[in-house]
Amino acid sequence: MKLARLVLQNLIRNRKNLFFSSIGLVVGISTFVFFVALGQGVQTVVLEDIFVIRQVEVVPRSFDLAITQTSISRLDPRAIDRLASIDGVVKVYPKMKFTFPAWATGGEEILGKNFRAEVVADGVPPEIIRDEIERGEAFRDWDADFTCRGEGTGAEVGCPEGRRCIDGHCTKLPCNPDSPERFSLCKAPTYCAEDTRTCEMPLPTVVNPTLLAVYNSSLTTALAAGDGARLPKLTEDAIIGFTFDIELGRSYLGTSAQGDPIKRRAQVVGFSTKAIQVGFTLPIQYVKRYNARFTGERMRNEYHSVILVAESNDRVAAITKAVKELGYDLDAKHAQAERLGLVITIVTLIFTFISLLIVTISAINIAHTFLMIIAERRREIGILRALGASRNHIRTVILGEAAFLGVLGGTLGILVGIAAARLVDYLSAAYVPDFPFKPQSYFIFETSHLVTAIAAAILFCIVGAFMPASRAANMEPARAFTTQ
Amino acid sequence: MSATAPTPTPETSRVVEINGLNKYYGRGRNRNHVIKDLSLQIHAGELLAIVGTSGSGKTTLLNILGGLDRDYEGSVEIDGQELRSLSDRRLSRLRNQTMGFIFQSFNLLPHITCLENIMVPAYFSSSALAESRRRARDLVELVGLRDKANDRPTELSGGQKQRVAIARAMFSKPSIILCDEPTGSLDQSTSVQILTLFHALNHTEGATFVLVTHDEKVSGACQRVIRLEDGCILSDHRQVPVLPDASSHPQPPMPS
Repeated sequence: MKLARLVLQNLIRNRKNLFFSSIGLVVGISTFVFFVALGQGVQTVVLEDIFVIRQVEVVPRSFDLAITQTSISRLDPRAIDRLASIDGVVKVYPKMKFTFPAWATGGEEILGKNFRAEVVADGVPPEIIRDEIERGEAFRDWDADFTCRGEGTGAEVGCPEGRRCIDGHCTKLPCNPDSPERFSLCKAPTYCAEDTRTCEMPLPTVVNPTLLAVYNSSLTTALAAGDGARLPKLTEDAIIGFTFDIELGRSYLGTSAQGDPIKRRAQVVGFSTKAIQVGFTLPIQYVKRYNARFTGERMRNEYHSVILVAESNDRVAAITKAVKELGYDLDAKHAQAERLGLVITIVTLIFTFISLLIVTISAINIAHTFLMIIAERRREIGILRALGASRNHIRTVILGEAAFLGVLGGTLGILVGIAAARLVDYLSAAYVPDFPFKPQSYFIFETSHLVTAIAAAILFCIVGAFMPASRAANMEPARAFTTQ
Repeated sequence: MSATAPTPTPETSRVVEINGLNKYYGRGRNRNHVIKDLSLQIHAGELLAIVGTSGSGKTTLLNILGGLDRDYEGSVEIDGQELRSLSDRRLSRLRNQTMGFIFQSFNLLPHITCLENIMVPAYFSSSALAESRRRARDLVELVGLRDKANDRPTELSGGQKQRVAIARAMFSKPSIILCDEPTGSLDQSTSVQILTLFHALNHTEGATFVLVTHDEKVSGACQRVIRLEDGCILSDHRQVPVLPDASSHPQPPMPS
């Protein structure tokens, strides 16, 4: 404590010299803090928002035959059980894509005009998405068998809208699509289907937030009429509840090999990162039924991929290895994410290395400053030795000055780094056009990184001052008085 | 003005015991034998002057006595402890607790106040800070600089600086105070004041003073004078100390 007073007195006395020699330290630490936070921020966006690295998508192994791909393994219910038993896998959910053509029409109510587009859709078990969306109960198989009690329609007897309770089962209400009264027969949200001539609930769909990000950043211009006008930007709230028509079994590409095309209405009930990135996702029961209807019964249990949710990011490597050993492949996205993650890590490491280089140069500068200070203080060190300071006292005082300089330089470096990050975020928000997944901040400052920065600053200062401190401590007091 | 001091008898305890001391500077052909087979005892309470011409080895002897230079041959004991056998830590503690140093050029730390300068030895001891501050205040009063306690050394005259240095040397109540040309940078009048202070402290605190000087008036104020020549003791005699008369020398004006 008493030596701390001496340290403080010396720091105040040499403040100018120390200030100039610590500029390098501040620059180095701020560079370190800035790039580590940038790397962390970008990696988080890439690996947690764009590619969810904790989710591994397994696909059947296939090989290329010049123009076609042939699968040599299948994803059936038995395969899913095997994948679920891999160590570190906490959840498994199979995905099944539409295997027939379909197109969708609609959009006027939110975009101002109708669009017709080819449908890309898949199905997942509703229970894995239900918890993620606000209207979770709406994402279910409405064509399933519902049991009920008593007689009547609606929720009071346990039936969904558009059904009547008959003999303990909810039966769809009949309707006539050609009748002008068809709207009053089927109460919203049900509608009168042309093929079944019954009231049907719209197909519940969920959309991936990626699609909304891509739409808001790029498609608002691309889908406009070309006269410079832009389609409105949309929010999740604006899209939830939006309905559109689908024709299953027919599209621009042609009609399905079997089964007559049917028309259905669909409704967006929520957003989920588990949904297909371009297109929409339905409860898997619908997809199973439609694939069987338009492609054949064998497609009812033929999954296209399986998502394995890992216990943590650390388990992903072991899980991917086990998946390959079982004869399956990983979706190309996973390899892409790994490559991108690696690139970000390498770039971050390069900048971290550069910042450490700056700090090292600064440590040399600090060493030079301390050597200079000690040469100036030669006589003073002799006085302190004469008054009872041991070699350890002298070493402690000088290293204490270095450590204090490290704390000050490190703290200032962190503040400069954070200020630079805030400036970049501000400039990005103000001047950089929106792009998919444009984050509010590109930086994530973790406490551990800030502590490391301070520790590195202290360490480099102490390393820089170590040799001068030892030289001062080993100085013979008598020589300190006689030599200048 | 003159003053007398009790002459220590050989029975009085020895503070310093030097036997067969040799000191060399340089190596090979350039080796210079500066202290030659010197033996000496200094007793508690003595006010002793070491005199001699430049290069006679006075300051070298003082540095060796103070443990500031341990590159010697022979034996040097302070309070019964052979300096070369002590670890750096124990030697430092000995300097801190048993010795006081007063230099010709004062050697005060210019960036701290007089009071803080007096307290510097406390930084390297186990004494409490509050107690050290009290002791420093007592000493600054003892040397007559109470109103200068919070001034920096750059604001003081030479005599005042040397008073602060004396107070610092007395801080740990040392048994021996080593002074290297303590009046060398002072005018005659101030030198007398400093010598008077040495006498007073020698009486009141019982401290042993070893003064290295080439000034006959300073050595004349000491009870014992050892004359060195070419690294050897030429003479060692006791005398009745005579302090020069301060009244014949006008007090220099205080610096503004």
